[in-house]
Amino acid sequence: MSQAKPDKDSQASEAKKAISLPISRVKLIMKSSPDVSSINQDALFLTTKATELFVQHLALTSFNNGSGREANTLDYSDLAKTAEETDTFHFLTERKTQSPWFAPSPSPSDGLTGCPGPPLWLAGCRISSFPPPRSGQTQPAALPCSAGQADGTLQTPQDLLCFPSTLETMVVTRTAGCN
Amino acid sequence: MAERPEDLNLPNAVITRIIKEALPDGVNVSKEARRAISQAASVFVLYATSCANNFALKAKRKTLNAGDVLAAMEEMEFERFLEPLREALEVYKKDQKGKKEVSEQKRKDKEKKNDSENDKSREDEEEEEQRMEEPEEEADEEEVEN
Repeated sequence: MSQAKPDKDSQASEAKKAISLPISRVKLIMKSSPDVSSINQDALFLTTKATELFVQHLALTSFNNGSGREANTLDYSDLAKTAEETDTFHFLTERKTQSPWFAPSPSPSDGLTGCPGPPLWLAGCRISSFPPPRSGQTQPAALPCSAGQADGTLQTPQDLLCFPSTLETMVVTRTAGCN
Repeated sequence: MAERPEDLNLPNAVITRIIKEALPDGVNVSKEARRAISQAASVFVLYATSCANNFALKAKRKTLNAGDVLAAMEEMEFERFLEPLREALEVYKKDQKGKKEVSEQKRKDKEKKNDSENDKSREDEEEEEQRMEEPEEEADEEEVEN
């Protein structure tokens, strides 16, 4: 990699053709869904590409609707607002009303509490890379978790965008070991 | 199955770059916003997978295919992604096909070479057999297993 990198333009056009997110990581996330047995190469590619489009779309929509437009900033609150106000992004906040997707187990509403206990790596999740989902107060002010989470419900955009926990809860309810 | 929490995150550097490309130049994206988008992307993958899987189940298939993912996008009301996705898939398939043709061409060349050498020695023949047993790398129908 000591070679001179191609200029930005050619990198950009390259990016249009292919994908920049790692397929292997996307595959891992897809596979964390217990009812998925196998995924063909095209589906994997499409999901990865779609995720990139989603990131762009979410960022741009939030920026355009957001309050930081004049200041040329995109902040957390802009995302929370978009997640709340834009229908297509509702799935980020309304896990329970979208239950057909997120309720593979018979008692999805139990959420975390219904599980014998999250797998170790999820427990680790809370401590290390994610802000603690149930004790937002201890976290630096930026990510205010709402009270909704105490019973595993996720109702406000803050829940989502605290949403390490959304992801977590989802993964837990979708993890085979949790019935 | 993911074993560490980080396994469910997408790489920050790449996410940041994608965000930057989407927004006008010079927009400052806060760290919390970046993290939120990155997490949302992971949620999106799970949501799309779950949705696509439902279509596969309905059709009594075990393997998710491209059609399932496209159907999922429609279901999720991300129709706006359909066209770019179809285009990207076409390019991707062409690329894969191109690679396949190149590697096949190489193989044929080698085989030709071997054919001429086979008269001289039996070892080459064995070598060729070994090569024939190697799986096709770029098979289109390849299923991704764990």
